[in-house]
Amino acid sequence: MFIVCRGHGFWLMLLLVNMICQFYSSVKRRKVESSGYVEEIQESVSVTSVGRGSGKSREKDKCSHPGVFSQMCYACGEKIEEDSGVTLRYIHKELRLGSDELARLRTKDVKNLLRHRKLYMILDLDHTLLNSTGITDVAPDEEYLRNPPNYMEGSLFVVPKMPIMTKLRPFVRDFLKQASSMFEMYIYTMGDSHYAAAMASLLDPKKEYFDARVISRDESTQKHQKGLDLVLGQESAVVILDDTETVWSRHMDNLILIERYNFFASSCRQHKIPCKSLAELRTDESESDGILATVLQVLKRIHCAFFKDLGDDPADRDVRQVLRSERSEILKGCKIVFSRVFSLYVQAETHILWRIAEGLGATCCTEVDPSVTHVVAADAGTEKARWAVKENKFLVNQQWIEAANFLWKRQPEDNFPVKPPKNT
Amino acid sequence: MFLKVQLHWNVIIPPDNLDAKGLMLQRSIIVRLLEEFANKKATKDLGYFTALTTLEKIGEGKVRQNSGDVLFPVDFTCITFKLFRGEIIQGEVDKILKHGVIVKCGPVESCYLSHQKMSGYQYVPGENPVFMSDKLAKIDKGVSLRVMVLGTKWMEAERKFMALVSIDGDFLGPV
Repeated sequence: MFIVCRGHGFWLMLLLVNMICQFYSSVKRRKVESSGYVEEIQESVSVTSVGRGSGKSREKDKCSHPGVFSQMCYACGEKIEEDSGVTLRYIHKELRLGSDELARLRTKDVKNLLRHRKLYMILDLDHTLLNSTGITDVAPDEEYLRNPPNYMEGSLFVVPKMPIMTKLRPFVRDFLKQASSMFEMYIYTMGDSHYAAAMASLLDPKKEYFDARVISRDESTQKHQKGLDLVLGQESAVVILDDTETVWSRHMDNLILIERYNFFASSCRQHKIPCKSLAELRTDESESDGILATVLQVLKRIHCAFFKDLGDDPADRDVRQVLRSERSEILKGCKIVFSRVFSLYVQAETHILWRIAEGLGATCCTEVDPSVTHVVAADAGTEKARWAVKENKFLVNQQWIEAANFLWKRQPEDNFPVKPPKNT
Repeated sequence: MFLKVQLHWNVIIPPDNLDAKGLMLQRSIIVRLLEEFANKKATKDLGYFTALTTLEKIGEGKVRQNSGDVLFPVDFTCITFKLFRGEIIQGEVDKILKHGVIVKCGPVESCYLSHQKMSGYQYVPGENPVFMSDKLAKIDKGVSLRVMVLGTKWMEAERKFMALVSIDGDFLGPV
């Protein structure tokens, strides 16, 4: 029994040892395989990391230097000496962006802005949002402004450091508040940076509307001209509000021309306006239906028209087309003949009034015919003017076109009568 | 970041501050040294002068013939702050721009962190714009950031440093 048992035990032991050996060898094999696999992984990792490293060094070698901060490329840290790209001094005096980077940022930013149903708006300061005069230039009839009446509180300021007196245009605070929900706003002025900063703090003391987006002539890239090269937005989404057309020669299609705000006598003298200033007359523009209130309605129309059709991608739309089509509706259906408004030696088609009228949707011609609706004359005694009266056509002076141009609305013709002939 | 430096400067004391009792004179020298130390602000090699720690030695004064001022050579130890490329620093977000962030780090007021050096972050516009990451980490005005210095530039006219920083790397970003 014992022997049998011992025999059984022996075989059992042998079986057990055999199983253990098999198990151990398989484990060993598996370990070797797995370690081989690990080695392979490590090898591939090291290869890829080397690859990545070399890629990085290659990347660094061919860094496109998208932008420069304090003469260092902000992507690779390399010192950059040459002055390429655009310096955005108004953001930071040491920041310069390359043209490719600017284009990329603009594309990205415009998508972001359009997603929030906003456009860009560039605002001029002087004669658009406010009017300033030197303290020493105050006219005798304006002396009362040194101790201003109560109704001017919050709109008339003295900036002693300059030293200037500034009057904010009526409705400007409401205008900025309402416009900020539709536009990302920039200030762009021909004044220097100190003046621009001082005026921006009067208009926007809490930095809600403009923040650092205040561009002055010190940051401008071209003398006596304004441009959109400093604006981080695409031209197709920019609306410009300015009282001076000539400074925007490259971006006329984006411009909404606004009537000048000449509150002080010095401004009237500057623009050769032979009449008393608003301050001298102790009056001001209306809050409710003044120029800024009117322009705000225009901006609302433009904003609404731009975002109206949600079918296509807003990034494919162009605000300049919206501006053109809105303008072309103002005098649509009007056929205009001019009489003694411009010199005989000037080609009629090139005259500014002719071009404005056509831009407003009117048809202009040189000779009268039954289809003519308006005669714009400088004198009621001309042949064409008399024809207009006889044929019961509208007879208006040239300010009728100018008013429609500024107010973006056809004006009542009765408000623009033509002076009677001088000899009567 | 912080350097311990031993310097040798000359301190000029006007004649009316000279005193027979050595103690008052020593006080005048120390006050003048502290004034000059504060006015010096920074140098290209040493960085920003942050603290004067010990006054090692006041040398023998030399009288200036024309003015009567006395020039004392002074040895002292101070601590300066200078950023170096590759260094990890901590700063506070001062300004959020569309294309990056201005970070303040101690006396260095302009450290520029470009959006290109903050992978995974997107600019979120609004009244208080921020940069938000995929993992909802937020870079807001006033937030503490751990950043790596990419490069520095000494501005001689303003006597200050500008720096470029990055948060592309492990353990970098909002603290």
